[in-house]
Amino acid sequence: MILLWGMDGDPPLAAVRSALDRRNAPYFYLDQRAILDTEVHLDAGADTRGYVRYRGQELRFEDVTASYIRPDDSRQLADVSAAGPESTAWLHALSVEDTLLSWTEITPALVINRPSAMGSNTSKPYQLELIHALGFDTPETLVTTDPDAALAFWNEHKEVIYKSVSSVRSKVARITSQHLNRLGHIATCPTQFQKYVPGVDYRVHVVGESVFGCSVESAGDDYRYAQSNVSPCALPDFVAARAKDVAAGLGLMLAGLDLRRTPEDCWVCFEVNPSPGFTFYDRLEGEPIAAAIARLLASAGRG
Amino acid sequence: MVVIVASAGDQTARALAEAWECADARLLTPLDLSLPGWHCRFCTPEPGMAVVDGKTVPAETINGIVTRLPWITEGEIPHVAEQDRAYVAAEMQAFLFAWLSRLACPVLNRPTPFCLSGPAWRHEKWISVAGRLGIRVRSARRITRPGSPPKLHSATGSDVTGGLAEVTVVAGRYGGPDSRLVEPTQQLAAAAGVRMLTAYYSNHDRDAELAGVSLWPDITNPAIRDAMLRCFTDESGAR
Repeated sequence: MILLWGMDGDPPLAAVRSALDRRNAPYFYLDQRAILDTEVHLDAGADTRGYVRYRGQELRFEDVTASYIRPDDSRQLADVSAAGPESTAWLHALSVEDTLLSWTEITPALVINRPSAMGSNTSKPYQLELIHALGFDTPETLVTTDPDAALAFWNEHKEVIYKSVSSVRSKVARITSQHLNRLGHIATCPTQFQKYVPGVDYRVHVVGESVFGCSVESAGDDYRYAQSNVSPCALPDFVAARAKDVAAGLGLMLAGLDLRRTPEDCWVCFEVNPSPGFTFYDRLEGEPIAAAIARLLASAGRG
Repeated sequence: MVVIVASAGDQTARALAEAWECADARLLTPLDLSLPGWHCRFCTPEPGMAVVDGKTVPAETINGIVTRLPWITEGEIPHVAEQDRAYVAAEMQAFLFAWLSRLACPVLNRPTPFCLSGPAWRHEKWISVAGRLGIRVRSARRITRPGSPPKLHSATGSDVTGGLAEVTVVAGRYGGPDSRLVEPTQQLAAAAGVRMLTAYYSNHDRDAELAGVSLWPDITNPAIRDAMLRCFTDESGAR
């Protein structure tokens, strides 16, 4: 049995659910919005047993062969938030969420993706060093609390961007002379600077052994915040192979890689998203990325 | 120099730094991450500069690290404006994790994305991994039903210590008083990819069951301190 767990209405979860329907593959859909009606029981020893029940259905953990998980922070759910911290509802929601996350780390089932494997994304420079070691070029990167070092980096590279070190979402922006009088602020908090890399953006999704590329045309430094055109495209074999190596090296069955192809034909990797919102890029008929995820889930446990 | 990464309020860590004065031990607290001097170029072999106990030091002069602090919380950085604390704490955590991960010196223990002191394994994971290694375990059970408080069966986390047999391993150098339980504890440490941990067993007998694990051994114990320091002096000399 396949377990789908996440928020009803989440586009990637909905897309995978539709793809499983098209395959007539059976699945158990656990809507996180019903967390206050969810019962969960987990036994961990040499074997893992237990069940999750809600809306009159029961799924035994022993029967799960694969799982696609997209849970959000349960504390943000309206019923839980309204009940407030330390309320029975709040504690129940946290316990259900934590127990299910605990199960994902000990089950022999295929999990897309285990939270522990997604962890590299919590630190961009840490992940960048892994990406670099796995074969991709990466942008020159400085993290510093030293305003003079930041200024020297800017003078060295002329065009420099800054962005968050952690997974807290931040808008990538280029340093300009207007920032100079604020450089002193970085003494309070380590700040990440990168040499600006010109070129065309590509988003590459890896699903198991399958690779899907698309180019992104945008005038912005961060295409997520600018008008952009996304077009599915073929990738050079070596780029597809490296993308698979990176995903495998990070322990990810599903990954979204942010690449840029420079005018010198160098492929630079900036980041790997371990829980990509792939539907924005899955524009070909038949939604091939969602179909590949469904295929991977359905094939798990069949030897 | 030996660096102890700890909360500014961790008096046990401070006492350890004083006891290790001979090794030039110093505390690195989150307050050091709010001082100018940090400088790290990632994806290069350059070791860069760090700030330890308020002073800027070349990272290559560090011979060993003890990671006592699991993560940086907002409470560790009261000098930061309240509305910015959550963001700054997350940024500091992300940077410190990346910096600690790239050091060539011995680190007890190496950080992972969700815990600076080693793997952020839940109790069930420790029990499950130990069980698969063939170690006798006290099984862990969680039950959560709508409308009733969550229930945990079997000891977890810090509740496990009372009346249990305690075995600590430090880089293969210290096994604690009960030699029969050292081997399974070392197996578990190897499976977790850590060099230092304390395991708690139901008793001192051969049929003892694993009841819990901590990544924070008792560093007031002189034998544990000695084993940690020997790890740094032996292995930094070998580099």
